[in-house]
Amino acid sequence: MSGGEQRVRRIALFGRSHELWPVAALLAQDLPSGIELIVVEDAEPVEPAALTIRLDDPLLARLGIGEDDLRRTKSAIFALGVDLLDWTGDGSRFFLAGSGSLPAIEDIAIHQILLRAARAYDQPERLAYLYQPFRLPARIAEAGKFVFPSGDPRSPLSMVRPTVQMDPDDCAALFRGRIGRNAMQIVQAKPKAQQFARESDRINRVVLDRDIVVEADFYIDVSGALSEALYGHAPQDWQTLADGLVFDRLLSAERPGLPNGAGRPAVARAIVGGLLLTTALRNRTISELIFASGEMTVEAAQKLVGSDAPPRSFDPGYLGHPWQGNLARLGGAAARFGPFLSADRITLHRQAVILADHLPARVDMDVEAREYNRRHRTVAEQIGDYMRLPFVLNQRTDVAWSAMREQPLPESLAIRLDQFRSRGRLVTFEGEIWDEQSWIDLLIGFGVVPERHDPMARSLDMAIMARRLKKLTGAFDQALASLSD
Amino acid sequence: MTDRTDQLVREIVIVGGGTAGWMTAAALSRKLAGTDTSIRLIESAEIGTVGVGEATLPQIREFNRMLGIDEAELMARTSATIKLGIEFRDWGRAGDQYIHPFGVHGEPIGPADFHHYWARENADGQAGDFGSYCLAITAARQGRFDLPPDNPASLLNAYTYAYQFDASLFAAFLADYAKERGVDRIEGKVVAVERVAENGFIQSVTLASGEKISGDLFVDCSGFRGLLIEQELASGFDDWSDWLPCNRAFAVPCVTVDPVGPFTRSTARSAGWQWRIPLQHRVGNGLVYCDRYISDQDAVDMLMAHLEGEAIADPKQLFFRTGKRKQLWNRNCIAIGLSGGFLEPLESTSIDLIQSGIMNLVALFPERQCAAADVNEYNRLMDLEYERIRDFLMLHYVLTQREEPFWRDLREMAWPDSLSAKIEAFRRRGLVPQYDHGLFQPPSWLSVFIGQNLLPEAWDPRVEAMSDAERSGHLQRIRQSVEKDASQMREHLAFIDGYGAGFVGPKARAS
Repeated sequence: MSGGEQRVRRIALFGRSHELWPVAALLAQDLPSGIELIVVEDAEPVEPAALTIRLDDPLLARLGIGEDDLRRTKSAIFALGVDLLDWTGDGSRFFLAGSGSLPAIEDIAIHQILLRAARAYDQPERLAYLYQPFRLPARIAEAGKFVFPSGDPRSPLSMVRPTVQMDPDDCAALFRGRIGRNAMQIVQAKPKAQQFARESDRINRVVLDRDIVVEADFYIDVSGALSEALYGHAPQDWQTLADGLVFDRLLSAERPGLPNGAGRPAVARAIVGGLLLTTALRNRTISELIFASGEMTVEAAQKLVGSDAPPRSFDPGYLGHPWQGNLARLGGAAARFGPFLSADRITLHRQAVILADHLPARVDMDVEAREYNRRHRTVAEQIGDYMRLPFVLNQRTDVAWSAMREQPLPESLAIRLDQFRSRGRLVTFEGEIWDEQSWIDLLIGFGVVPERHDPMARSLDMAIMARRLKKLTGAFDQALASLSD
Repeated sequence: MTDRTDQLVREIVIVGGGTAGWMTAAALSRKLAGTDTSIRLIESAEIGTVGVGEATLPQIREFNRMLGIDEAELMARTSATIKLGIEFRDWGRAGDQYIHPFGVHGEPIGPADFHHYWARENADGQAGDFGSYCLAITAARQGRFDLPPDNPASLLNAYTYAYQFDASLFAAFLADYAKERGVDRIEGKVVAVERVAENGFIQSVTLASGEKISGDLFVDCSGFRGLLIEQELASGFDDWSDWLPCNRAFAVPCVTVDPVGPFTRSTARSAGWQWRIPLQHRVGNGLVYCDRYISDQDAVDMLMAHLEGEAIADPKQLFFRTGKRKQLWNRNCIAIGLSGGFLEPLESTSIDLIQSGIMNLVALFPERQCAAADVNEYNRLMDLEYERIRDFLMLHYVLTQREEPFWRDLREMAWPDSLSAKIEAFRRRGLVPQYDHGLFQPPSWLSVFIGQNLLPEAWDPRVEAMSDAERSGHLQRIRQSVEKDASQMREHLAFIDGYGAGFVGPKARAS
């Protein structure tokens, strides 16, 4: 390597608990012995939370963490998605499940064929009803069943995309347990404000409480404490999502025992002025509430969640350039989307993988930063769009929820919605995170009925299609029936 | 919800034949079969087609699959050979040679991408030629080919392929296909275009014979002149000739003398470059150049002086301007092929851009009023495609160490920011452009970067976690595996013969 004298020799990683240790584990696994890793752990306890991770998550794959590892943890339970209750009106229910793609028939998507059929009978509003039998992962979950995906790609059961739900401490322990004993130096401390030295946009050293000094070539902030010491509470370059997601407070609590309603391990219930998430772990239940401070009192929020703690401020958004100089930020330091759909967790894991792939080779790290920032924005935009979609499509009449329908959309989400509403076509962009099927399920399930079907579906013989679709749902019925409760 | 039957496109008019016109006709006739949609294609025997685009990209196999075309039959009727990539000669410096393959280099041996381990090994002077870790390249160099396995045992065995064929015969093949599926070919020259006053949509075209052809949707495949999209609808043109300045070409076929390798060749010349595309019955050749740096006479002399065998036709001169229409879909007219834009024949993107236009049209096939959402989305997708191809083509020109004025000027001009950032990222840290939507993926960029002597100054630090001995062992194993797998393939022409794809002659027609 040319410029060898400028190599990165030491990396300092700052963070807390379940955000810190996944990143530490990946770095400890991948870094060569010539690069020293210092982990500065903020040991303060974290707030109650439920972390949901897809089993096909890229970070789990990088670390070789599988079902058996997760099963051995204290809190983990497996699920297939989340129940969305009351989003399209009181009493409504939609199960949002990760899903592999449905097979197209003669290159035509199944929902297009169903739309043509529905329109032939002048009943396009029945699209969601007609489509429901094809949503096998959701049907499995709605029946109170669970299955891991089949390894046989021809099996309908290969469509399921399970998740694991666990608590933060368990998650931290799981990842920390992947690290070899001598892979890093660990310091339990917090960075102190006003006691770092800085040269232009590069950090030379960071002073921690207890006057410990950390010097490194590259700094990584996972939870935000280091950034706060540098930049204060108001992050620069923050791309807020608050205009589209009006809830500005977050409160969480845990209680022993499983939630009411067996077979519903994760529920996101729309309520007046907020969204209440209830997630079952193995031996307790986590409640997380995001709400609009103008619509719900603190007392009401505390009562709903079962907590006396004050709510935390919630300002969803992300940094446009989280890597500046020799400081890279991820996790809560770079993006905050909140607990819905475990968006923060997905973001962190994606960022960790991207960061590992763009670790700086030398102290001059502009190109790595540029590419990391670009990919981070792609992740953030993807997550922001998908997370926002059900809020945009909600059909509730109370003030906060109504307001979220009316806000202007990011261009990418507007294109997706326009195309689907117009002709049932799902537009995809760079770096898709969620399954295409999940987008389609969500759009149809929340009542979007395309104005027209794909004109190419006109070429299909609908009598033949009826038989082929029936055969497909028959296979799904059979797969579902074969599963035990 | 209202009945939208009256909104359906019932009549499609394609203006222009050639590769673009007949690919469009074939695809639409297949996808709209049984819908009572009439498809008429107007072409004039008096107007020649450009017809020199002979090399393709692997994506064309997806097009063939969509149409249900039998591959061996297609190859037999179009004199097709296999293409595993493009060999570039003299592009970095005189004497340089590399292949841009339709396959990957190496396989994963650690958390970093393979090329980082190669770069580290190369820094120690221990690495083999980068292409020697790629099966498609090694097979191409050995003049061998076999169909790729459906389920490759490892990434090392994963490669794909395209064809080199006679574009005129390909158009004829598709014309037969389309006509069998009801496409009506109309002989004639368009002399007038009538439009709807309220919205400017094209209503009909009038032929020299006086016949008026009306339609709901018009596809302009009229070539460079853009009869409908530009001459009538004035859609505008994004001129990219400052970035891709070659603007002329001579093309000439010759008899085959050298081996018919499964690859296209592109050789840099003093003010442009020369192609060699071996078919089964002849070799297609051409010289692409910029008239600011070389005269037409010198260009044609240069081409003729470098033919491997006797020319079998007079050289044909072509004129072009690189760029694209500002709106490839305007009102009820979609420009597909040269009418929409042209970049360079350098990476065989012409037919692929036709295919992209068709696939996007199929995906966004409109109703009669052509919803703005569909038009905008089509134009967005095609703009993205053109821009990414442009950057990749430019890469070949700017990463040169040649000293002739043509090459020096290209190297020293202002590059698009998007391209500068990609080159800088690779030079500094071996980072390769990654995107989901785009024709050219990391193996393509890597082959040009490294093939034209841009080596990364630094590599992924995770590479250092592997010992030198282990890394060398992996690289040696991969090379040996690639060499062995390639040597077990059939000789290229033996494959074609055994596949039942031997050329049946220009007049032959499948039963």
